[in-house]
Amino acid sequence: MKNYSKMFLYEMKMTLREREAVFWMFVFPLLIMLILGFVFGSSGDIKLEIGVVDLDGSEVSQAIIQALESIEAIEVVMGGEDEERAELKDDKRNAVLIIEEGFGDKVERGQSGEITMYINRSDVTTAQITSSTVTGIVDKIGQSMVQAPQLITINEKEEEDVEGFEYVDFMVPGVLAVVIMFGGLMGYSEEVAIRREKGILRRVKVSPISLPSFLGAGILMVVIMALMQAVVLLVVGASVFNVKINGNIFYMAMAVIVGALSFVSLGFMISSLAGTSKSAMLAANAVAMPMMFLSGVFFSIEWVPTALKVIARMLPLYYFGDALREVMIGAASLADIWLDMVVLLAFGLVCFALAVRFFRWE
Amino acid sequence: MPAILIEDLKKHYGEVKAVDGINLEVEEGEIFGILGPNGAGKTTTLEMVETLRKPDSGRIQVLGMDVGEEPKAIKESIGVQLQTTVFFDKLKVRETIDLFCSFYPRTLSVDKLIDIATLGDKADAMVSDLSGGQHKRLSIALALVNDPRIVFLDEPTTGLDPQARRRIWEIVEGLRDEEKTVVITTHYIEEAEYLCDRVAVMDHGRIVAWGTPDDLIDEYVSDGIITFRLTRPVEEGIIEKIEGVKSLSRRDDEYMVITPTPQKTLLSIFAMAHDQGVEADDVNMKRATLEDVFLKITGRRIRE
Repeated sequence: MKNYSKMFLYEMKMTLREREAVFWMFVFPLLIMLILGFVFGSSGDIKLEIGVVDLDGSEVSQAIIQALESIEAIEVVMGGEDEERAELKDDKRNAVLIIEEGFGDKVERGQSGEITMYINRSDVTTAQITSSTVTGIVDKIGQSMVQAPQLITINEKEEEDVEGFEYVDFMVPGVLAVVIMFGGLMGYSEEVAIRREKGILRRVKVSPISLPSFLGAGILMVVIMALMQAVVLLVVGASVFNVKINGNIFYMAMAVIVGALSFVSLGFMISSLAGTSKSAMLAANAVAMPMMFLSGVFFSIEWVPTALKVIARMLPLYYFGDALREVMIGAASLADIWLDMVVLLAFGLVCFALAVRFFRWE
Repeated sequence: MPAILIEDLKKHYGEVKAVDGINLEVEEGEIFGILGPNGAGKTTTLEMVETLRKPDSGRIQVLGMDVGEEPKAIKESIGVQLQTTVFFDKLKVRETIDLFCSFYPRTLSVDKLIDIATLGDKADAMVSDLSGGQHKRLSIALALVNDPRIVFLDEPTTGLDPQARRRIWEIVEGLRDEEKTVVITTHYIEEAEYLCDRVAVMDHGRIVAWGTPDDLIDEYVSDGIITFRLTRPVEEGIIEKIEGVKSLSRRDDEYMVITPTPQKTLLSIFAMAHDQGVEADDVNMKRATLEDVFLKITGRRIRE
């Protein structure tokens, strides 16, 4: 344990002293995230889409609908209740108003009438704007039609499970997945190969320390770095782009750890198979680059041709990106992403076994 | 019990007989040198003793323990400086020593090691900023972290300037005072003569001679050695006929003769030169060295 923690401590020191490594691990991912976020993530002017289910059809309800329609930033879509609420769940509506039958009568008779508003809270800011806008308009109608705004109340309900992804919600976990992949793959494969070339591995071999403890410290270092990268990216993502991080911290950490271990194993395998540190680096690049572009981590692959989808599903990064997204944004539990976890663990184990099988001290 | 016992050790790489059946005994507390040209098999031999390589056949015992059977116990009681070890560039000297200390159950203190290696003024320097000599001293410090009974130094001074070499020699002499067994490989004659209690001369995977440096020189080249250059080459037969010349070797325009009667031979050389109408130049009479022993045995120089 003593040797393990020393080794780990110095692995960390060495990495953090490497300015270039720090740049690639922390600054570069932030740059990528900011660029992608600002280029593709800008939502432009806010346009509120409001679904209205008018079961009443009275003058009052008509007046409310007209008032909503008269506002430029609001687009009113009329429809049935089930249909509109389904659209809301798909994040296609900002709110759905349901005006029950008999609402107009009640109000005209001086009784209080109630409108139910289901609101899309996938984006907190927009939800607030929607809520206050709709409430304001309805109050105004109540004022002008029956001089008693308190008669109309809005029963605000939050629609659950809105699949309200914005691009940044998709992209930030994706960038994190790529960054962790690079950390494991590049950092580790090249470092082990360099140590072999320099004869450091041989020197370690003539001491009583075992290979697992020597390499284990490096692997632990990569995992800790991955967690640090996750914290930095998520904090910046949340503060700059309002990425909605809903996940359980423990699950998020587990997903990051499993992914980091998986890609470290891949890097380790490359270092075992490659002849020199240079070829290890080239091989790691050759693996990482296509994976980065084909795994659908920066952009959704929903609309790409089937062949590409099939390829994506064969790449571990696809599963890692998916796991991070589900667990961070979708607030999934580990049970929900079991397939991703199993694929990553299995892939990591196979790589690790090959790495150990072909490991060379010199 | 000898510190190291090697019996009929062999290691072949395909056709190349890197180590071709050697026997050796290193006593505890001695500084034992393995002298030979590059490719003689010194490093391969050492690495088999250090548990780094598996012998094809033969037996190696270190402190009574068999290398194949108790590698871990052996690793704990030996210290190794490999011929080419580059350490972590991004660690400081002190940190590097501290790190290697963590690999062993029982160690000297980091400060003591820095002191032994005379790296006090560089303790907080990055390894990447060390000079060649400092780097070698660091690698010796790392070979001593576990206070080993046997220290292996593989060409500890190769590529160093004379001053840096001296400092390493001082460290090795300090080890002698600590009664450690030191096994050192080198292709520097002076180093072997200066440091080693006993020397094994190795060539082509075999040990061609062994003993104390003085004994070796007495045994193989008790005669005087005269070297000289001639302004113009002279037929070798003429030089061989000079009075007292027992053997002649020639390298470019430099001749070397071995003679039991150095003074007479010296005069005869000038006489010969006069007769041949050439001038003898750069004439030297010297004490024989291990180089001459090597030359005598193999017909080649150690450093070619």
